[in-house]
Amino acid sequence: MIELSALKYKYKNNLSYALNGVNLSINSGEKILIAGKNGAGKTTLSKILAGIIPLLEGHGAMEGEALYNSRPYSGYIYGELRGKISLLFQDFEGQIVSTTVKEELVFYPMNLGRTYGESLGAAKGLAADFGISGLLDRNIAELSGGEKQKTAILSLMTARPEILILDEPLTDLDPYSQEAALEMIKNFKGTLIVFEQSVDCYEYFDRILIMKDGALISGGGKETAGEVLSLDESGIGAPEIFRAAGGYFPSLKSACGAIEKNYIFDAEKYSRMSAEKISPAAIIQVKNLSFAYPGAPENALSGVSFEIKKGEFLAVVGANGSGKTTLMKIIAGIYPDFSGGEIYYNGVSIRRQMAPGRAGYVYQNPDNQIFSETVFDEIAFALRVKGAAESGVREKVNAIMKTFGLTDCSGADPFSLPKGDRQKVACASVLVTEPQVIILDEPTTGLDRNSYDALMEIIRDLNSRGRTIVAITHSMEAAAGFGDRILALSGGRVVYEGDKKKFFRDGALVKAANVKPTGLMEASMELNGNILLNYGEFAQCWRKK
Amino acid sequence: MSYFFYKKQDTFLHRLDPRTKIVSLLLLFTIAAATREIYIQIVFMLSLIALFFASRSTGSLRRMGTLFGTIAFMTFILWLFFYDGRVKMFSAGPVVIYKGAFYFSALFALRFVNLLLSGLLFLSVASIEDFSDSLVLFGVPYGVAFTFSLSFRLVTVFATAGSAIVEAQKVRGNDPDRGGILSRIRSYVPLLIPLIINGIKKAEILTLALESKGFSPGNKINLKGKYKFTAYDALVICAMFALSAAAIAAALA
Repeated sequence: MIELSALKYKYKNNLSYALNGVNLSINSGEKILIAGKNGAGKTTLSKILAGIIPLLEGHGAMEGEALYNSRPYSGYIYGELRGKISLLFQDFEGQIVSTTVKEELVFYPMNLGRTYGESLGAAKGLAADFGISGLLDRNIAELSGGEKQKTAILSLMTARPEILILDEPLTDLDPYSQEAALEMIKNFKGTLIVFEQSVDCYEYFDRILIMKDGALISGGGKETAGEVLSLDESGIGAPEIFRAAGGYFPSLKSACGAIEKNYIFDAEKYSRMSAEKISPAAIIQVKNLSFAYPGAPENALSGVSFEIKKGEFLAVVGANGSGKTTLMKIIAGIYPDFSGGEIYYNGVSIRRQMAPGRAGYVYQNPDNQIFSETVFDEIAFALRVKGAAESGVREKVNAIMKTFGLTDCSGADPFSLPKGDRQKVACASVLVTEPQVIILDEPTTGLDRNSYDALMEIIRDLNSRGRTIVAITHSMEAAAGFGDRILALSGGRVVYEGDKKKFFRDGALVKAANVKPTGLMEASMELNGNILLNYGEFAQCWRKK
Repeated sequence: MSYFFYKKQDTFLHRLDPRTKIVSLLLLFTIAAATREIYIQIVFMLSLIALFFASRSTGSLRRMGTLFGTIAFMTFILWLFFYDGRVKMFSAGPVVIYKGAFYFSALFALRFVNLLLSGLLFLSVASIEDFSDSLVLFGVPYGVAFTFSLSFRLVTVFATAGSAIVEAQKVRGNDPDRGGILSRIRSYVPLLIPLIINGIKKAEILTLALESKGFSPGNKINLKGKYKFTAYDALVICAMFALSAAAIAAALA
């Protein structure tokens, strides 16, 4: 169906190859996962497989052979591929072209000449399968990021293409929505090609391919997800459960069996590690907070009360649309007009007057934050706005660039940097004012394992030096790695605030918050009832026999 | 939040066929433009406001009320001084107000506001898709109709990018909504670069997005079953034509 032989591609002659010798054969009906770190060439490959390169973006140089149904892609006109191959862009929000969910879902099939009735029937059926029937009449601008991503995926599936290509389709979805999306695309009748930065969703695919430096370097069946060393070398990282078990196991039970066989549990270490820490005083107290977006029929937040302790690292979790981002934007002073309740900063009410600098907010998408011509100017902006002396600005900016490893690109255009580095620039530009509380909105989204580890190391270091960190995340692996306490939201209300281990151990609480424990958490519970949150804890508590 | 006035509601006006909505808009414009009597303009304005209540779209009125009020006031003041009559009523140096200026200014202010209210009512009960679909149903080629609606779609693209950037910069101490006019203008300068870059990027992606979803200017779309032209639509159009004819006849008389 698709044949790529020694395929090379570069966007400009003076740039290096984005794809460097890709060989790939895809048969009809296959379900393929292609995983690679940032810059591995995934997006370029996805565009070539969809025919967008060279038919719509044909400015680069292509070598080798790319065939679809035994005919070179370059021999087609794009119109011939309409309805046959569909690609979900990495920037899925940019791909949405209508104003309501229903209109978006019928847009593609109607443009293929299908009647409104037929298109609407397909849209309603798929929306029901995906559990978003309630969104059909909603205005897209009012949806959360996850709801928009679901809409974007479905808007392609309603056209019933032969080949569905999804470039990082799970980035904004909570665990349950990820599972629903994967179940749905698993049942997709045609050929499915999904690009991801990890192999965590390996079980839904027949074939897993690993991409590095513009080439497909290895691949195989589901067992590829257990090749820990090879995945680490590719900058992807294996699922923690396979890291712990030492390789691929088809079920949780068999992975647990392997762990029991090779490791011994150190109960003393576990009890020391799980001992409750003395809780410091609160830096921020939220009491009975309510908030509604202008014109919205319902409150986005209702009766929210919790505390952020001084110097802690708090993870905020919850399903898409649960109010995580709204709550944190209110605390950061971005949405100052909340309708009810109070927020106290060090015991003083800060209603409508949270000063910039007290709470720094780092956005999920760094591109919404960046605007200066150089990395230095970008980071210096907040200090200059405050009227700081230039010598002081230089000193502080240089210091933070050193912390983030950005010194070498001080004079570079921030937009020319890879996503991981842009995220670091965005982070540094907020942290340079030394806010007491740092709020990070989905800091791990779109980052590969190496970039994620590098960013988290910096953030943990800042936390160890007394900064209070709040991280919003829908990744349970990330939530497990962030600090000791967790705040779980559901439907705009707090369902839990407290110790992470207690939260993940309590199945009812986890369900109420619409989140899911990771495979490693489930395995540790299965083994002896003692929950371990991440591989670091596992390595401490389970010693090799 | 939405940048549009349209909100899906189950009201008589929302349920109208998009062709009825667009024809009614043109006829409302005709009535507002043709009417020369202040009292009729006032009755017309009250009727439009009643329609906002009937279509549960008073939120749009609240959003635009201050702006429309300001426009009405400015129109009244400007016409008061620029109305060129024959009999002077008041003069102070270069400022001359002629007899009849108050009536004329009030009429123009009301007419302008009624035109704006008619447009706002349309935008409150008709979606972008209603607009482009009605053009298609009137026989306008799909590519042309879609291009008209694309300009509205781009408003969302830029507005969304703009508000995200304003938010991100507020956090870093650059609040464009604070301070005097000069400081506000200065604060908006750093917003322009990311807004333009983001806007261009998103507009570029939108073009690709449209192509990737099967859109082509030469496409023909089949709207069969999407809308139903009912007896109510016919009744509304007849009533609107009758009112417009009356307004034109009164103007000519």
